[in-house]
Amino acid sequence: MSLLSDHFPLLVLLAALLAAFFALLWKEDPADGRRFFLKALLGLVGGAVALGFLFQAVSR
Amino acid sequence: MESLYTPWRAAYLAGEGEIVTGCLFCALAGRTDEDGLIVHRGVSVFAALNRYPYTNGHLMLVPFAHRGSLSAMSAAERHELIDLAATAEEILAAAYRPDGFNEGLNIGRSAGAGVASHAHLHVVPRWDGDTNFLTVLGATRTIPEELAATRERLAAAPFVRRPGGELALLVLASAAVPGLGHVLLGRRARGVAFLVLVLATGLVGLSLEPSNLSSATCEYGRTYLLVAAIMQLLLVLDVLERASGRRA
Repeated sequence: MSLLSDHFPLLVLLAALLAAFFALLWKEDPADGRRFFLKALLGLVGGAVALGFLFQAVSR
Repeated sequence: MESLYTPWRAAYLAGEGEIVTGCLFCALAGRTDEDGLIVHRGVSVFAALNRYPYTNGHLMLVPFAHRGSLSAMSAAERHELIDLAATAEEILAAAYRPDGFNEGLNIGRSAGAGVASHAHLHVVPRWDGDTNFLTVLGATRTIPEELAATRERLAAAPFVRRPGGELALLVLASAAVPGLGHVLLGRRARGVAFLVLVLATGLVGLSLEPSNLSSATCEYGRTYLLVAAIMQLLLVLDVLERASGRRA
């Protein structure tokens, strides 16, 4: 459970679950689904990290 | 040099699979839905994907009985065939948004029938520009979706209009158990995957003890639970759309 007390693994896990869910919901072709999953995962994690840095800069 | 991948033709090229000696369509009706690419079995007519399609979603509507022409069919078979063609139009339109359709029967070999002894109605979705240079100059068609994926998508479509009670039951089942609505619609693998995803999200949320406010990550528990609830809501809406024919 120690991993799940850290922000980053929790964020990546949530992003992976969401990306897999929407890939299954929106994409019929497995290859399309895999591509969408990777894009969504990278987008969500990258977006969250970028927002984190932005908030850190603003809060200073 | 660009490459066109058609992996579904590998079995044909390798000479695998059963060699049909009698009528192809009579043999097709006896196969499993997955093997025969069958998307719907009606009372006297079934709908199957063409294994060598002109375009993506190319369907063939075939009477179970071995009939050579429209005039050889019973009135009930003819009515079901035309009703099914109308339903197939709606389902393909919802699934692939084509710009038009070619629909018709080729009766007899001189009329272009591939299987002349067993009449079948082709429903071919068409898009503006689908006969581009590849087709005209290279005699090559591009099909953007694997046949198994097309079959799974169309098999889940409502070829039989569901009465309101059945629709309500599907929605209730979907609301009660994540993914159950999809399983009942014939999308078994996806239904199970949805169940695992929603349960995993909810269980992680519960395990994070959202009430422990001293934890730095206490908000994650609530977030996971909220996401699981939203996933479940989206699944119910998806089942409603698919079951009522607005999405295939």
